[in-house]
Amino acid sequence: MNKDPYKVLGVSPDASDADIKKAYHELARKYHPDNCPNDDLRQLAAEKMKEVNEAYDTIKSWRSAGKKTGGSGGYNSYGGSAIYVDIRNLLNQKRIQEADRLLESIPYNERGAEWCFLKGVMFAQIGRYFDAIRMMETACRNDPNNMEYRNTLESLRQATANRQNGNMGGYQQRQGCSTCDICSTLLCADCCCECMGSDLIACC
Amino acid sequence: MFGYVRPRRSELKIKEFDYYRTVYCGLCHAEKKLSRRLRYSLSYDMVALALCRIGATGEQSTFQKCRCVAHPMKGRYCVACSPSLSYTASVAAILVYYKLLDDKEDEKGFRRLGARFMLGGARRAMKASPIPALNTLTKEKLDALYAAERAGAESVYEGASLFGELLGEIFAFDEGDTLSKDKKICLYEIGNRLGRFIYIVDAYADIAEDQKEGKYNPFVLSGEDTNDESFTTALINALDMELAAALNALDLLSVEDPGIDSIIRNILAMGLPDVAEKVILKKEKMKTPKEPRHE
Repeated sequence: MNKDPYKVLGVSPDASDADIKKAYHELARKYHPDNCPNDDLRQLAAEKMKEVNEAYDTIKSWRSAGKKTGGSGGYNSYGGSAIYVDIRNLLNQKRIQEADRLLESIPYNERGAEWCFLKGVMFAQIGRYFDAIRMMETACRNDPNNMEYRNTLESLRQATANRQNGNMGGYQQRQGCSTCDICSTLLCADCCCECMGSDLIACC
Repeated sequence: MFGYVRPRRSELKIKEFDYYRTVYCGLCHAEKKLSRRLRYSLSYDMVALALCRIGATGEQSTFQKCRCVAHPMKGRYCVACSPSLSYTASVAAILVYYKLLDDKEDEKGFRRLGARFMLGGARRAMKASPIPALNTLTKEKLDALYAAERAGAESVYEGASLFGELLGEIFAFDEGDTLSKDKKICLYEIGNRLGRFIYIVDAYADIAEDQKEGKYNPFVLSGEDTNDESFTTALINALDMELAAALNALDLLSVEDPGIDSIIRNILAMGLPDVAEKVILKKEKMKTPKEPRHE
């Protein structure tokens, strides 16, 4: 295919999956051949429709490949995302300062979910966990369907859950007395009374 | 300095608690040797430092019975002054001195008067047992910290990492080469993580006051709703990670005395999480019958 699939859908390369899906549905409705009464138009619409479908499929395949391989998929040829691939590679190699410089070079209005995600990864690597969690939460908010973001956020949160459950076990504090305690105490008291010749609970 | 670093008392064994108290009293007497006024600034944080140093150096504690103003009749058993204790007392003098210097500038009224009263004691204590290298180091780090705060650092971690570095250096400071390199690295990490923890918790605790008085506070600057559940859980999570790192370092430090190891572990795994929950979630996790008194 010779056209930029992002341009076909009219979205920016770092748009979230949700945005792309939305744009795709919009275009699909617009170009649906059934909308056209005229035969010529119908053919044109069918062509457009095909183009849109192809573009959507391409983006989807790129993105799923990118996720599996950590970003080395088809991102590279497209300006906006190529920089994120670089950042990912830098982060993988723990070249944090360079990664941060690249992240900061991206202008504010182009900072989407992926930017937040990568910034969060960077924060986690330098131990700024609070900032990392907040960034990761923003990334998940911007792109709720992205499993990579979600998984990373979860693993960040869980890193501590294990420690708390494992290490802090100790003994549990006693929680007052239960119904069972009351009954057994009464029974004991009854036994004592019977020993002394009297009775506390008449039926036993 | 803040009194946050304390164990969860209900989880200490009695012998551990007794030992903790003897270190507390021993530190008080070590401070008294430097300056009588300095002992009023005694805090649990410094006891934790003393414990870590004693654990790392592996020095044997000897006990003696001492009387003091708080216990004039019966007296208390306390750890006899050892290199670790006198080092901790000197650190306390330095930290208190710079804290008071800062207070004298910032505070008003009685607090300022109190700061001026104590300042003399701290200054005398610093002269009594000087560690010039540590003094300049502390001054440098604190200056950097104040500069970052004045510049309005956006993230709480900028101040936290500076304060962490300061505590790390203090924990691992070693003039006479009595500690091995590995121990120093572990001590540095514990101090560093503790410092970061303390700074973040303290910043959160001061939100209301700083907001009122217009002082620097990173959480106020961020403009987020600091009482929001997602904010507080993220913060608790982040603090837990600092403590987890400190606990890892403690494992590597391999303190010989199991009692001391257990007390430090208690502080990191229970005492500090309790403090974080109390300050940030504003709840008491476990009611202890009586808070440990300042003695």
